[in-house]
Amino acid sequence: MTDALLSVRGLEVGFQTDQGLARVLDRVNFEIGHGEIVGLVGESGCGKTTLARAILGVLPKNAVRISAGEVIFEGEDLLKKADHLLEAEVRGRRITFVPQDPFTSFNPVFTIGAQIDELMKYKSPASKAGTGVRFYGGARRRADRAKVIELLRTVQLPDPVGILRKYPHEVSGGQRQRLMIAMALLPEPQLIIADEPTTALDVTIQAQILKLLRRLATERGVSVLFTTHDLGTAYEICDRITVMYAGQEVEVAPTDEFFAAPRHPYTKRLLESLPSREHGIRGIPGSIPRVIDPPRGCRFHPRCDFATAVCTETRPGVTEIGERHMVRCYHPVFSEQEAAE
Amino acid sequence: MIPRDDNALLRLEGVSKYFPILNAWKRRTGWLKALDDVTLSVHKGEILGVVGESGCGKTTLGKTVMGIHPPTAGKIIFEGNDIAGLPPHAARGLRQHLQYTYQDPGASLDPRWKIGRSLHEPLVIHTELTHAERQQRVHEILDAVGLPEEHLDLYPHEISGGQQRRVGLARILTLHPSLVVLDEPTSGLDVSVQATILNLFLDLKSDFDLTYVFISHDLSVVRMVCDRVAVMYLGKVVELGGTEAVFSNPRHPYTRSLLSAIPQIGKKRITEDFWLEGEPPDPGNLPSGCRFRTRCPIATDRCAQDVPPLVEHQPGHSDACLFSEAGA
Repeated sequence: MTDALLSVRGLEVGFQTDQGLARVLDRVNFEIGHGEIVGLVGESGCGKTTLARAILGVLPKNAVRISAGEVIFEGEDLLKKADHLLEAEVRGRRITFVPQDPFTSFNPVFTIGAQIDELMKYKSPASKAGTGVRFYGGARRRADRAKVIELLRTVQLPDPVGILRKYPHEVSGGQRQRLMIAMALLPEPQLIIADEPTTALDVTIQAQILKLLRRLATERGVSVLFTTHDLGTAYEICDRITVMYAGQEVEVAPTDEFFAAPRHPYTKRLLESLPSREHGIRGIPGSIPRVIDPPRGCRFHPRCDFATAVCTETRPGVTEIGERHMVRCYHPVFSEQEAAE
Repeated sequence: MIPRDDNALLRLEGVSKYFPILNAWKRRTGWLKALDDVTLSVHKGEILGVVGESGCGKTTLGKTVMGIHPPTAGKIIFEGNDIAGLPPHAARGLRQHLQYTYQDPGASLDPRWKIGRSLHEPLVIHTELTHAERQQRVHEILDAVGLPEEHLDLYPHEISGGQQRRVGLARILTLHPSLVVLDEPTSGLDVSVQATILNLFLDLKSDFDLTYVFISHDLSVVRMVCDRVAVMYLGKVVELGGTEAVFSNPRHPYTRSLLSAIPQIGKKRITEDFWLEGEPPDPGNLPSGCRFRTRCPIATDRCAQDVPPLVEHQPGHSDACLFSEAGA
């Protein structure tokens, strides 16, 4: 696709560890269009957070080894961009981040208002990128404050003026996550990376937050990269879903098709392991491979029912199996009925 | 009221647990009612699910049953004896039959002990077995929970979350308990691992003739494994009944909202039609009357005055709502 807002191509990321190089991402392709909510789904340790962080450019410099690939954001390769420019123009401005844990992402000793002011001082859309650090004038401060309060109202926080004077421990988890979403929207970004934003919340609060995120993203035309391990939440808000397994993306499909007709054996097993009436309780035998010495070829082959010799040698290429439905497998799964046709 | 039943392995009668709220000078300024007048029973051989959001008192319920917290009021009857507030030496003998698995298995294993030593410990405390006999018990149990023998020589950080759960289970099963309280046994696990762990629970239940109290916030898991469910909201049981009855025909408005908040693949999206607004009130400063009334869509003035009792409207299915007759 040419109209993608962000496209990651052949990204290979490893971490230097005592045991050797951990190959956490293996030639990953990934795309987000304008105004699209894309779910990045996978089990823990599959590399979804690493991918999110690689896009932001916040992986630890001393250990990370990016050996190949590109991250094209609005026509520009972020991996080649100088770090200070990334900091000034991209991070927190054009790409913002909603963290997983709203409990640890505020500084406990400053009021919420002080922390939002700090954000606006550096990242307000009213200031030009890279300037406005030395002087933060009264007029701009007042204009920013008005915008902040308006946005806090949009995320349905009760008493927005009062909450700015509170400390983080005084508000509940759901409210903190609303604040985080508000802070991610304040710089008017093109892309929000939400890293498991509802994992730490209760179901009723999760439903409210998902609803809010969906509405705001649609209204403002913001793209969202939504990483989660919970397929249910991905179903709720995503337009498209990318599944990762052990550092390789295995399937990309529009949400409805993804759940109705999964093609990759891993995706199929993953959906079947959700507790449900028809399948009972069924897991995936075996365990996820170690990233230090991952299996060659398709990393799912040791646990796959359909694996053949070719799977153990080379990683399958991208097969376009339906409209915007891509799968990387030599033996995509079809139901018996479809196979007969 | 719920009739007394004789095949109850464990019975709670009006159990309350209040924690004091202290101010900066350590003066008590109020009570946090973590459990308030809870009455329920666990039958032999069943799995009772306890569900609710965080802060609703489900973990306190488990810990009070175990005797980790002494109850403020009420009776806990286990195998015919009242065990509430027993002195430590008496409680120790009991603990063999009543076991608890902690929410975070990684944190409940000593990081500086090898798995083998952690597995031996309960036997050292509760039995008079020799080292060789203990060794044999440990091997048997390790086999039952599906862990390889080499794991005995590993440290907790060297094994995965799912395996830590298995070790946690193995630890308590060496004592052959009759009732096990599972506190959030699958939280933090991936779905594929969760499925194998749940199957393990069910297999072990039939092998060792166990009864479970299954505390969880994950309703889809509870629906799959439990025989009966108790739904809790701010320290009160608001609905209690057979799993199928509660899930297919919820009577309390809170249960209904909780069920409608679960994302269901292939069904209508909750982002389109979820109606519950607001967050649970501060448990230290509860609303009068029904605790759910501040968020309830059908609340009236009466709800602010009367505390609705848990009433059995249909056999085996009780709920605590003044309007459950009208709502059903």
